[in-house]
Amino acid sequence: MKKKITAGILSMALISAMAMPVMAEDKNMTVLYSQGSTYIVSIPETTLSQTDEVVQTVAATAMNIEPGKKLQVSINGITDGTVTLTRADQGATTTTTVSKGSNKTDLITGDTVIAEFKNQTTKFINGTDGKLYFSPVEEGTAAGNYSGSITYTLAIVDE
Amino acid sequence: MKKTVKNVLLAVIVLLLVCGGVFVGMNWNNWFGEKDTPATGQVDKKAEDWTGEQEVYTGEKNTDTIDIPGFDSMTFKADAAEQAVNLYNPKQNTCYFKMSLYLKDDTKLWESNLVEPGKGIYEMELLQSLPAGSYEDAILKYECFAMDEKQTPLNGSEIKLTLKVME
Repeated sequence: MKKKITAGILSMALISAMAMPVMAEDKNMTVLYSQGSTYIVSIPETTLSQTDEVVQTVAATAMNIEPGKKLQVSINGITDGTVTLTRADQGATTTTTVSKGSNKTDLITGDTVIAEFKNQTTKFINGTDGKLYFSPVEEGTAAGNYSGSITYTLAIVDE
Repeated sequence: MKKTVKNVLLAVIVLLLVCGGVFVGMNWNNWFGEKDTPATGQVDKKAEDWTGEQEVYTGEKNTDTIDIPGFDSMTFKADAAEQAVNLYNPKQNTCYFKMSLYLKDDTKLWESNLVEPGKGIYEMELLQSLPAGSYEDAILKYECFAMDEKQTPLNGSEIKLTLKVME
């Protein structure tokens, strides 16, 4: 009887020792990294005089926007879509009208968003298409080459 | 005496059995576990020594457009005029960049001379240093000019960003 009890205790000791290695506790380490939003937007080089309506497009060539944000493109300093063009010799000026739709539809103002992008795609979102329609210059414009400049505002905002 | 020797012997045997059990348990997988077959593949003989980024085809550049790089923030050192930055004129552009930095209240912090396509600015000296804080709606302004004698002004851009000024 004593021998049986002793054998039983020794067997228990052997089995419990084999179980010990599998009770190890896993430890986790948290690694943090923050990547800022970046982008490249392609804007028209210049606004030229013309006798017919001209369409120009603002587009994106690279986009990396953090979740919950979007990139908005608008035009700075324009009232009622009016853009002033100056002749090359600075001797005369004329005006053209810029709008989001053809034939002066939906005139551009300082608050008008012409393009929106988000995430890592260069596709337009929220119904924007980046198109700008420049109307023919006003009648009676003196002969010559005219050009004007527009400042595009790019801002990352909350969605 | 005989009983004491017996007990000591028993204790030694128990200890040996426990150590033996630990040893068997630690090596069980190695002796009896399933061995992973390592994945094998062929070495690509067309690969050559990597020497850094190479130019890849990205489509034809529309020369009637200007590529404007933007970001949501810039990080500056507090109370210091000299700052490290990473501003550039993309090499595919065909115009000069003149870059300038303003606070929300139109205070000018810095202005560059004309920067050619493919060139960048890595250091700037601010007109005034800034105390630590977050300056929202700061403006990085890009004025673009034709690369001819007249340097005709072209369309430009203003990037709204946050200046994060840190100690």
